[in-house]
Amino acid sequence: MKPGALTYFRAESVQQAVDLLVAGGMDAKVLAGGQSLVPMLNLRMVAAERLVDISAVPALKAWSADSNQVRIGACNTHEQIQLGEVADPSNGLMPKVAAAIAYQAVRNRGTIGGSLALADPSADWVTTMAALGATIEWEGPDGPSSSPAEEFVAAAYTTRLGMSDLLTGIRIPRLDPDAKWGTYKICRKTGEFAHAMAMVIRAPKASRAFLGATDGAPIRLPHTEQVVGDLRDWQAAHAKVLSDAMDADLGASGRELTDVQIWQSRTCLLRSVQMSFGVEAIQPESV
Amino acid sequence: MQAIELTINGESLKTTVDPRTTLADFLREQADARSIHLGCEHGVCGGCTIVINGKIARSCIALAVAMGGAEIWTLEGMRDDPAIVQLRDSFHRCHGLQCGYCTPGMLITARDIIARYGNPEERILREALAGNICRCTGYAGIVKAVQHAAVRLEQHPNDASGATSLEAVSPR
Amino acid sequence: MNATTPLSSKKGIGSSILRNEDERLLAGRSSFIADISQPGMWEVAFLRSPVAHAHIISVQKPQGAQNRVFLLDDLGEVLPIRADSQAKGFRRSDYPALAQDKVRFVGEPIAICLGCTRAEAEDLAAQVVVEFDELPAVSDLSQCRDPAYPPIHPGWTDNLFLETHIDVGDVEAARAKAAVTLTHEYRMNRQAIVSLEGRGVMTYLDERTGELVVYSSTQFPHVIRTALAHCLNMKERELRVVAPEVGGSFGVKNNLNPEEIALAALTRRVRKPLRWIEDRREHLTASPHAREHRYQVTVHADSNGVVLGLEASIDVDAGAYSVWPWTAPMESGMAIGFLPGPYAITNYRATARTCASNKSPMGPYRGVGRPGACFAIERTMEELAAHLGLDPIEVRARNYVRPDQFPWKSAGGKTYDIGDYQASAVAVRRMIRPERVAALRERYAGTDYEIGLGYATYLEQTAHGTAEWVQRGLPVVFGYEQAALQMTPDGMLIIDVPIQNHGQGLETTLAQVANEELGIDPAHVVVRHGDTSLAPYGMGTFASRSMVMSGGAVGCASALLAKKILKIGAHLLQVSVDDVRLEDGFVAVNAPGGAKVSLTEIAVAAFLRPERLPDGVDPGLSVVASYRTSKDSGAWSYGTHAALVAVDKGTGLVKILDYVIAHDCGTIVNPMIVDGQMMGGLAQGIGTALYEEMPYNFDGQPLASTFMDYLVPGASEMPQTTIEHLSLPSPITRYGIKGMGEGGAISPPASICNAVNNALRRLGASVNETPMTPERIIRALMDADAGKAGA
Repeated sequence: MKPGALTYFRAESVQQAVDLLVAGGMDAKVLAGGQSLVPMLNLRMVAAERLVDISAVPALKAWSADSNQVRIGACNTHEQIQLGEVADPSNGLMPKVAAAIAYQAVRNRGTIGGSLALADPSADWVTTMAALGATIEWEGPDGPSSSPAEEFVAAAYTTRLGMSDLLTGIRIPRLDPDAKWGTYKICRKTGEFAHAMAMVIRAPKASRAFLGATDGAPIRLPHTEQVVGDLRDWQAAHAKVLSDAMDADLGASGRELTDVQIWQSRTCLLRSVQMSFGVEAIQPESV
Repeated sequence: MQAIELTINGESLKTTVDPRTTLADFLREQADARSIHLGCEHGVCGGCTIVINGKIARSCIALAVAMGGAEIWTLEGMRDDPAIVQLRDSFHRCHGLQCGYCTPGMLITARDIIARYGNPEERILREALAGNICRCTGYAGIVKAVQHAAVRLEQHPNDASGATSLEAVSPR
Repeated sequence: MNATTPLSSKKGIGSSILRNEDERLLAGRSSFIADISQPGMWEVAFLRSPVAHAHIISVQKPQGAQNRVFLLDDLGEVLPIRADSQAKGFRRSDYPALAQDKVRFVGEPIAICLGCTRAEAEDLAAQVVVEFDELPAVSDLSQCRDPAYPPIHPGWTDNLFLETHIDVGDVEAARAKAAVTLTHEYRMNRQAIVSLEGRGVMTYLDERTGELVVYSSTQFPHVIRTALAHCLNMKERELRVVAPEVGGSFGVKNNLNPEEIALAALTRRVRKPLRWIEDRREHLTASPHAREHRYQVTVHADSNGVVLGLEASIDVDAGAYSVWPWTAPMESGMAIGFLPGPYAITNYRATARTCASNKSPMGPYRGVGRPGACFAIERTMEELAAHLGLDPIEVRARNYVRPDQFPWKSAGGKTYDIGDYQASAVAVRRMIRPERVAALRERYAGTDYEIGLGYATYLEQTAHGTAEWVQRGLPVVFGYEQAALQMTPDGMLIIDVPIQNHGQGLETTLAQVANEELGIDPAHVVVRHGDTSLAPYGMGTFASRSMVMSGGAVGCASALLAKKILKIGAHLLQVSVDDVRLEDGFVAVNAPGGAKVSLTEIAVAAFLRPERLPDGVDPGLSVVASYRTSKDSGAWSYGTHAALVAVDKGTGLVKILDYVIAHDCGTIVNPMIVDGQMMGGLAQGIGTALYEEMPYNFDGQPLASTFMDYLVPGASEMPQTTIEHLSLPSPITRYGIKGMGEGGAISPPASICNAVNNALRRLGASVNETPMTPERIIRALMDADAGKAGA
């Protein structure tokens, strides 16, 4: 499985990258870590006559932090987030998510920007940025633009990015220090894509609850958020109330999940809420 | 064809490459790096794992043309690396290989695991090996081999700084 | 661990010596097929069919590429692959090297495209335009007799390769007497085999020797040579087949491939070196597949759980073509023959249908038909036990063939040689500690986890001889091995064998056999294999035969060599040959502190200083020997597995908390290597049980073409495992060795499925299909909930 013919350009600035993308039109693709793009090139699932390599653009590797937010450049790798080499606005949620993405060799080169721009529904960052209320930023032929993360993904592999737009970074508001989070995903084996995923953030002002790894964009669960916000602890009895809230949210969302997906999503949601209360999910150990 | 210049196993190389050539194919052909084994060409099996700029990476999903200025190490260049020397001995003693196809990638990943985690508990070790598929051993001998090596490297860390980051343990 | 036998020495049979083959593999410097090249070589990409079933109307080569794109007619004189079973009623399916009139599965090769690089060859393949007239595709074996689906092969009236029947004893009487009759359906879904290294072929003309050289990542070079000679109408001496280092196989490299024929024929025609390296997508979709069996089993038993009779209906989806040399019906033949398992069942009636479909052909994969048969019978035994409220090991004990009943002619037509099945079951029950289950269930009560325990006993017929292969109706019969041994003038031993080592450690274990007879250090023994120009004719590595067959041949040859060496040694020491023995690289006088002479000195005499030889002894030290087991019915390894699992009702995932194996493979040559084979087999068995599936859609499109969709177990998916070795030496093999490479993969689908059903039984849920994916387990739980709600 070898790629089709292509040409390669290494951009040195964001502007140059955008110019190259515009010049290449439909045939241009952004190359960051390559962990998703190059497999598709090898499989000839995607053709890219013109590859624009952005991995050396300094502005895209940079990150900055202040008391309200952290802004992470698109080319920061999962490993950098895993190891805490970029500031963490999420009380430990982002490093935990990063550590569970694929395998270390992939984390070393895969980037948060690349993952968001591709918008595979199972990608961890897609759900995480939505849950954190982040803002995705990009530059394009029409200048800079941005979108709330939870509106960024329209459908599987479809975002608000235009053909020649370049995702440049993500602005993430800091969680309240008292905010608690929980997340759970179902993988059949370590490192593969999730089949179901949930993420819950319990914060004094407003809780957030999302399902990921569905057929498209992450699904926000507003009723569930209210229920979660009212909980003071975890008890088995809460499962029913949360489950009913999730069903109501799914009904209102207009999204179609299979019965198995609903079953698994419910499990992920409940275990996420449990985790947010510090109750670790029981893992049967070898005996 | 495009020009690139990079360092492979300590030697600098200046050449031209067809941009669509993966780093794996490039290294196998240009540097006789036949330790790089292709098992999937989509970044899952780990058979092509090498070290790029001090970090383990899949060479099958890297493009050679994008490697300008990079420092690449394959198993061939790591022959005398203290961790690799120990791991070879450990894999031999603990029956950590059968057909040998996954072995170079396993050795390089195992070295990274020991550098990152020291001597991790078995659950962590097995998760860290998840990116390397073996079809022959059932992983039993591999896990034992990495544990065997980790203990010995803990007692006699390599003669670099002994730090846990891979940059400090770069192959010489 | 029972590692030692009366024959053992420090480095001979019974020793866990470290492997000779490790050094080059640990350096990453050996040569697999992708490392083999020739000057002027072209890389090959096959144009493969994108549709499952169609007539080919036309093929248009791209402009200017006529000398780089080749169809069947361009290959010269080439016969199709014809794997005819001798069984009555078998329908023939000729398998062309390249599809010409018709394509019959997605991935079937249509054209060879050449490029300077593989990428360029793929570019060319993408430019070839094929016009198809599509036909309905048989995508499920239930369609094989449906007249809505046209026959796949000419002259067929429907899509059935063969139907066979067994009817022994009196099943009707059993049914009448039975206190219990249970019927269940069991299903193993299709999977790929997934060696980590795919297949590959490199061909070139060696004008010095007059040979067409075929490098192929194969398990049986001589047999491939014979097959190629036939298909290409060449003399065997005009072909040389070499298997280089092979990165795993498990059966997928144990067939004659159309790609081998196509490349050999094309090199013969265009006189250019060519190389094809199978990529992962080709391997998953277009290499031979495995395991797709469906069973309906009815068991008749008395109230004590003694089986009175067994009935079965078995269907196997053999894909689009009969593979060579095994033939399409071998898999179902093994399923029907092995279904009675280790049990003394005398009333048995079964039908087995080998169905054709528009899928990649089915070929052998570790265990071949036995994982399916074991799945069906072992699930049956545990359903019987559960139904009667009896302990599953106790029910088995009441049915096992007893040690005093051997040799046992089974209802499936096999002769089991020796065994103590109950010992393996009792050992495994002791190791798994079923008394823990109650406490574990209490610990996890009220959580999402259901705890279950399941067992499975398997039989592994190994190293079967000529008569058994004849009975299976194959076009070639196996049943012996040869070995050529030669000393070198500097005292080393070179062993040339036609088997093919691809992970089994035979470069070490065959050296251990040589040590047993000659006292030579295995480090001074070189085992060369896989090359038809070096080794005498032989059958290759498969069916867990090499240690027995090749070990037997090496043993016989070593023993012959030992006789000559002792004669020369005695002469050099000036004593009688009765007064000397071989030990640790020397011929030594049988007295404490006795004089000795080294093998090197003896070799010098034999090769360089023949004046030192005794009268009547010719120079040289080499011998070729062949070996057959004393009976052809096979050396029967067996064992029992047990799995303790936690099923997560919330996710549908199964975690194996503990796994134990007690097995008997007779005399063990190298316990370390045997354990390695067992663990590797277990991993693949777990793959079959929980992860691996090659689904096809209604149009015959394979749906898992990358490792994103096709999952194989990684290190975290493997359970803690304990293995105990029992040992009843085989009465029919040299040293009492039995083969054991496949047993690890045979039981796990059954033991794990039994455990899952044991876990979910109290909820009224059951799963009888592999892989037991989270979706299938959740659906079983939903069905149980619905059943309760409806009740």
